[in-house]
Amino acid sequence: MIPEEPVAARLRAHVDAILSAAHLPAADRDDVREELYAHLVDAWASGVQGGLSTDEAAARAVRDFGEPRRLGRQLTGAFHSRLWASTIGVLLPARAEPETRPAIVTAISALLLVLIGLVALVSVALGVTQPPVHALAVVVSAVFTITGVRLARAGLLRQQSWGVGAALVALTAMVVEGMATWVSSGGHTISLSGIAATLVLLGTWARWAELRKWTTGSFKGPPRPQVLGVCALVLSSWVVTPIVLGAPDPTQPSPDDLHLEATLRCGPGTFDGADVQQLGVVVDWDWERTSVLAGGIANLPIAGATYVDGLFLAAFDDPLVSNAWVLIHNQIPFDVETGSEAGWQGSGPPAQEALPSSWPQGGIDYAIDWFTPQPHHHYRASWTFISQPNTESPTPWPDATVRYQHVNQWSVEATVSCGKALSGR
Amino acid sequence: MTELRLDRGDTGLLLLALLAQREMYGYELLAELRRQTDAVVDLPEGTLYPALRRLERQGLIAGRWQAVDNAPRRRYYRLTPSGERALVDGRAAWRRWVAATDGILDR
Repeated sequence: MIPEEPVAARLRAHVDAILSAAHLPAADRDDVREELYAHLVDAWASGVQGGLSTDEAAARAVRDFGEPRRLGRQLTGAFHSRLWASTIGVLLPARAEPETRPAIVTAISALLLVLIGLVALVSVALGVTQPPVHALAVVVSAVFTITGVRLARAGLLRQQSWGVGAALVALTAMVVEGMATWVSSGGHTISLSGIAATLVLLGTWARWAELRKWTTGSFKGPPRPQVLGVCALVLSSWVVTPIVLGAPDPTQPSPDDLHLEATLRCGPGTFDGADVQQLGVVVDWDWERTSVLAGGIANLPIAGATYVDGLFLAAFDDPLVSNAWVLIHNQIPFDVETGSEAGWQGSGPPAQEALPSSWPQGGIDYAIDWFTPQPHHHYRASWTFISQPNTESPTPWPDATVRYQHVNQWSVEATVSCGKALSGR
Repeated sequence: MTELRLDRGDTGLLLLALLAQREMYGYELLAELRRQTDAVVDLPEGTLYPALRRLERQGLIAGRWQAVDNAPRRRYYRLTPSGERALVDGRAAWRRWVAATDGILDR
């Protein structure tokens, strides 16, 4: 005995409701569907043969079969391990059909997709510009965040209150990051994703009742550790990345690995037959360790911002070289033992934004080859200046500040006076 | 060996015992359960299928589809050798449980 429409449709709808609350292996889903439907048909036929109308028999068959969500959970538990069923299986029943979603759910979902894309892009950008351990930590935390956001989105689309909560945590993080970007740039940089997240959060607030209704059928009391775990995953990039980037990368040399000595030699000299004052800045250094990895001092395929390589800078407390002193000679960085070059002169005075704000204008610089330095080799660079020949009164001897800037990670700086060598580490 | 949870009234043992009598499909199993227990054991109908699927995944029963005239095809279940051993063990365990609890309840 086979029911006709609309009774058959009613029985099928009940089976669909059960399966929508279950998470079953795809290979078993159709089998279970067919088996449950066959049972409802048998139950309906029994009711009809017992004297009920077709509608009454269908109603009784559906009622006696049981509440769909509970049965869905039981089916999930029958097909998966207890641990799986109590965590992911509980958290992720079947998702609701797109046409039934409120607009605010669609908006949140879309923004979460944008967030996933942004996190992936930023992690790739940071991953290729950071030293290995930093890059690894950044990428792993991005994977965590993407996983968390995907879970949050899955829960949201499956009408779970925990999914809404985790999604709002992600949007809030976007807003906070957008505000931080705006503040740190002095109001010059506006984060579009931050603005979008703000608008969607405002929309969420305005349509909160709609969202509450959306999650009416949510599982009650999902395991709190799992929900907190999803939120922790969502936030991992925002928390881990700044911490990791603020710490030294263990594959890279640290200030402790650099022995640096700067000397300022001051005395009389001659230039073009005229007596002048001569000022020499000599920087000697060697590396205790260049890198635990092959390939020099900074295993970076691309540098972050201002400096491409390690860089030596020198500047003077006098208003500077271009006025009272003239650069007559410079010795670009070289290996004292082998005589081979180990760097090059900067293409001009370093940009002022590259210098510490306390430094005077007009420093001079050498870049060093990041692939050249070897541990325990002695390297040297020097600059020689003379006082302006037409200056009648003696030019005051300036102090010099020498700074080694290691890419964008750390620096060693020493101020040295005439005749006095200063070691820096 | 799969352990049946007698302490929580697991229906698995009852289903194994019924299937030891003959091959049956779900609706038939429920009807037999009601009939043979004088309706004392009356499962919510839908809960039968998670129980059957769990037993099947444990290898204690095996299912097969069979076409039926003028009705949707049915999935019949039979006991496997593992299921027969589980039934023997479960029956013994159940009797120990009943004897032990009777020892208290009858005092």
